[in-house]
Order: sequence, then structure tokens, then C-alpha cells
Amino acid sequence: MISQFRVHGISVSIDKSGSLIIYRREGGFPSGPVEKVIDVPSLDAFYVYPVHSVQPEVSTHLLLKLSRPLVVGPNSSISIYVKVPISAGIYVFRGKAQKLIDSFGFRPYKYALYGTTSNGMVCRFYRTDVFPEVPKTELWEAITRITVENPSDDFVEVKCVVLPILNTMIYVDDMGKAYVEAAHMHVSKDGLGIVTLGNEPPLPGLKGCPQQFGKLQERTIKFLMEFGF
Amino acid sequence: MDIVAWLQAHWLDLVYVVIVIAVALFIGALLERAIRRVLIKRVSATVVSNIVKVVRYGVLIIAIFAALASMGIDVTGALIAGGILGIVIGFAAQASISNFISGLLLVLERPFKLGDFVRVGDTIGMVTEIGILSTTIVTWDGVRVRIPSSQIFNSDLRNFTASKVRLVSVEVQIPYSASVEKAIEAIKVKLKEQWYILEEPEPVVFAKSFASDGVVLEVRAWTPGSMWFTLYSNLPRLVKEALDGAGIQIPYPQRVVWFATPLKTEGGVKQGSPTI
Repeated sequence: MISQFRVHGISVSIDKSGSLIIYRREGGFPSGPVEKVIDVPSLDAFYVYPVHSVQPEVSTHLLLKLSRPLVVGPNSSISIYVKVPISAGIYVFRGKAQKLIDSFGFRPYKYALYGTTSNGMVCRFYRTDVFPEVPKTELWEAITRITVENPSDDFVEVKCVVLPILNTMIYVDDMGKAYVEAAHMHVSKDGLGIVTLGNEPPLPGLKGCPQQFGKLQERTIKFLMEFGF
Repeated sequence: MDIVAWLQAHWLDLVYVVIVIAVALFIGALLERAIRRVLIKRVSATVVSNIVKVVRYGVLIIAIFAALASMGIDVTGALIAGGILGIVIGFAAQASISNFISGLLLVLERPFKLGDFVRVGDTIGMVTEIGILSTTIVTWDGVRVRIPSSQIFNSDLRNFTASKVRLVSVEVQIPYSASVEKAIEAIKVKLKEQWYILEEPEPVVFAKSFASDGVVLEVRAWTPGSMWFTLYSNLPRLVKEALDGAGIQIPYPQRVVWFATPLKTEGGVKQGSPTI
């Protein structure tokens, strides 16, 4: 046994067996055991990075349910910090190539329906409080900043925010704390929410993590919250 | 008139015919590209190819007739013959034409796509090929079933995977002596632990009716459309485990029997006492 770690009942080990390297995981979600034979020259090729806590075959969006609704004043905008779920991703690197060989969380991911049963969409579900400053987080949580802009002449109450997270960036700071790229929510006058993510880290000085589903590319992602917020 | 003289007299008509056919081929190519763009993600490549061929040759035949007519060649006979041939073929291939038209309407309506799980009549399975004349479904046990388009169009079609979310429900009885509130709470807690059961809309458990052996509870839970079978096949087990965990037994059938006449037993005669 050359390298292993155990956290929250999840055991991960990397064994060298002759010229092969065996990756093993027990526990966690999606439930193990997972065992893979990896063709890399040494154990230095393995890295752990935070990844989005979602199964892409089930959903590509994250529904953040605010445990305390946010009431935004007329003709104003406000920036808040919220917690976002993340999982651990095991990457292998060889030359310029990278591959996510496993990702896991410590408890089952939960999903919810955003919208109606006939036209809505399934989203990864997470309940978070609203914080005026960067909050303290647990091991499986990241932080993001959401700016809510209300150009209307009325108060607007925000109970949830939907983020299209599949291709959004994850960052880490020097302490290893994870962050997800900042989001901007524009409340239109006809009551729709337009969520935009534009490759902007929530804080300055953060380092980008490898992209889970493809290479890093400059892009703006938009999502129309047509079923309320 | 020899061939040279004929060519000298009609060379302009021939140029016209060539131009008409060239334009027809160009229009056919444009239509082909448009059809491929519209249909390529909706139906299989074979169907797209067949539709393209029909359109391409249709345009070409119309152009040839138009060109011949412009040259003064009488095409009325050919058109009448073609019409009669069309009627004969129409009668002979009534079912095929019905399937063809139904297939086109299904392509426009798109009630299912490749990979969907559907039920057509008594056939349940995954759609593996969508053709103009027929659709192929592979059933749960691996049998390939070819269903004519007209049959699909005219029958009650159910698509199990078209919806993003699905509801699964099951009924269970608990004894009259058990706490309904405790049973409901135990089932809800158990269901919320499962990742494939949606947090919102949350699972619903309620006392539905009174049966002879106990109170009937109905359990309803939503799941992502792709996880329907997982929930469908696990829900009864989850409910049973939740009730077992709460110490609530699912009641056996019970009957209270009253004897019209006194029952003679070894200990003597008992009057009117119920026997369970």
C-alpha cells in the first residue's frame, strides 16, 4: 500500500502492483466499491480536486433553496454568499491529457423538480442559508457569490436560485477551500429570473481547478428561471 | 428529317431542357439539405435517406415532364397512363400508403424519439428504429417487434420516458392497532433517504381508506424519468423496511365468524361468541 486516505467513512487507496496502478474506493456516493487499473507511470499522476456534486445523467443544474428567503429592494442589487455542494474528484494526468477517474460525495445527492411536472426540469437540490460575508464551510461545501439585481419598482422575494453548473468553474484558495464561479441573477420586469455565469471567480486570487466535463473555455452560460424564484 | 436537321431546328429547346433539369437538380439538392437539417435528429438516417430520394426524384420527374411539354411533345398520354398506374398501385398498396402517410404524420408529431420506452397496444419496450412505414421496438425480454406506422398512429400510445419526472405509488395496510401517524413518519423518513426520490415534490403518505384487515395507506413518490424503474422496483421494499423498522406489522387477512347455531366444543356449548 503506497497511498491511501479515509474520510467520512470513505476509503480511497492507490496500490502499485507491478507496472500497474490500482485505484480503489469503498463507501461514499455513488456507492462503491470502485476499482480501476490505471496506466500511469507513477503515483504522482494522481490528484484530488473538488468537482460538482451532480450526476450528469440525472441533472446538469443546481437548485439552491434559500432557507431564509432574500427580499431585494426596488431598483437595487445585492450580493450574497451561499453554500454549494461539491464532491471529491480523483484525476490522473499524463502529459497534457487529464481524466476524471472517479468522483464521490459522502452522502447521497438529492434532486428536486424545478417547475411543473409536465414542463419542469430535474435539478440537484441543496438547501443553503444566505450570508453577507464569506461563510465558514464544511469539507463537502463550496462557496459562491450571487448578485441579485432588481430593476423593478417593487420588492422581489427570492426563495431559490437555479445555476447551470455542469460546465462552470471551481476554484480553490491557498487553504484548500473550494469556490464556484460567481452568478448574476437579473429579475426582469415580467417576473422572470435570468441567471448568468461568466467565468468570474467569487473572490480575487483563487486558482482554477481542472474542468470536470471538458477543457476550460471562455464562455457565458445563461439560464432563464421561468417557473419562479 | 435527319438528326442534324432536327438538332438545328430544336437546339434551343434542348438547351432549355438541360437548364430546366439543372435547375431541378439544384432545387432537389437544396430541398435535400433542408430535409436533412430538419429531420436528422428526429428520425433515423434510413428514413431521412428514403424521404430525400422521394423528394429528389419527384422534383426531377416534374421537371422532365415540364421540359418535354415545353418542347411541344404531348405528355398527356404519359400523364394519364401514370395516373392510372398510380390508382392501380394505390389500391394494391393501400396498407403501405396508409403506413407511409401515418409515418409522415408521426415524424411531424414526434410522440417518441429513439431510446424512449413506450407502450403501443400490448407491446412495451425501447424504440430502436423509427421508419416511415414502421417503428421497431425492442421489448424488455429482447424481442424485436416491428409495428406498422398506421397501427401506432391509431392506437393508444404511452411514452414512459418523455416526462422529466414520474410518480410511483403503492398501497399498504397497517393494523388498526398501529399508529397511523407513526407509520406515515417512518415511511417518509425512509423515502427521503433515497437519492432517486425527489426532495420536491416531496413524498406523500396518507391514510386512504379502511379495509377489512387494517388501514390502507397510499405512498406516492416522484423520481427523475430515467430512474422510474429503480423506484418502481424498490418502493414496496422500502415501505416494508420502514414499517419493520417502526415495529409495525403488515396485517394478515382476518375474518370474524359468527355461528348462527351454538357451536359444540369439547368444553361445552358456547353461544354467540365470535371466533377469529
